[in-house]
Amino acid sequence: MAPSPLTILSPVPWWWALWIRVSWPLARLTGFVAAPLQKLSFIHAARWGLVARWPPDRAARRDRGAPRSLLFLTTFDGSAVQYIEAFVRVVPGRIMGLYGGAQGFPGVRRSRPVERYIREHSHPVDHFWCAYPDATVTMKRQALALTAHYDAYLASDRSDAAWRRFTTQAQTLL
Amino acid sequence: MLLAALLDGEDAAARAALRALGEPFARVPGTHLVRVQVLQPPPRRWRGRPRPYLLLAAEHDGPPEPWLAAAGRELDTVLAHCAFWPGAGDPAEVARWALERRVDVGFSVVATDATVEEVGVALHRQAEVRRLIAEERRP
Repeated sequence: MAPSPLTILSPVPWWWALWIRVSWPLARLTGFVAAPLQKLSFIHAARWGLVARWPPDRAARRDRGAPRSLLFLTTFDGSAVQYIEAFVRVVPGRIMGLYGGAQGFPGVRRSRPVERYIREHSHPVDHFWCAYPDATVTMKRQALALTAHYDAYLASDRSDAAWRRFTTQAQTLL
Repeated sequence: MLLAALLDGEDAAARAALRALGEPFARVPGTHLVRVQVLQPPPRRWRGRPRPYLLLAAEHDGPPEPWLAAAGRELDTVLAHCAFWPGAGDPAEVARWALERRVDVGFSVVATDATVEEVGVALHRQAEVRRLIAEERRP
């Protein structure tokens, strides 16, 4: 199954944008937000950015009709519902740190209101392309790990013992 | 990721151009993932309706400039609906235009640091090993 893209645009008040500007560099330095998400085996990519000005190009006239917003882009395996449930279950504190001040964000105590919030703030992706649409995150990680073991086997004396060692290591990577 | 203002009244035409694209990113080397979409921000109260924007976001290998030059060529029919699009002819102008519209990323999580080529080789090798083991052969 090909991965799914999700684009969420969350309007935030000025004071939450200020919080984001202060907290993000600190969290980036410590890996506080990204590290636990990195371990989730269904995220191909996730990025958060703050759109403080529409358009970002400072030479263009400011679009005062568009609100300061948190832009979240992600690509994942599985369904959006599973994805949101996992986020809420695994990193609830981090989600509050990112979205606690976003307009209309319901909090993370239950996943249903979060699902509704995501549905209401998601924007359809008109064109999406992925280099390996049949490969899940797990498949890619396993294939890369297997390749390292296989290269080590090819560089070895290729004895029966080396092959047995390789196939033992490969068991969980196929 | 970049956000470019669309020309007035061109959002439907941009969407139509996106639908007609086919698979242009198969021809842009080093592209892992990419999305292009027309993004309509919600309106602020009493500030009128915001204009629509084009969002282009990608995970790709290497520096942005060569990727942007190749992507700009493939997306010319779409980007032509954006304000101040310089055309795909001059790679330096394309990079300047795109980088001026860049949204800085606060956080990112990516599944692997491997290049597109490395992932492709690994997947191929995995299939090969699977076949060798099933056939009880070895290299």
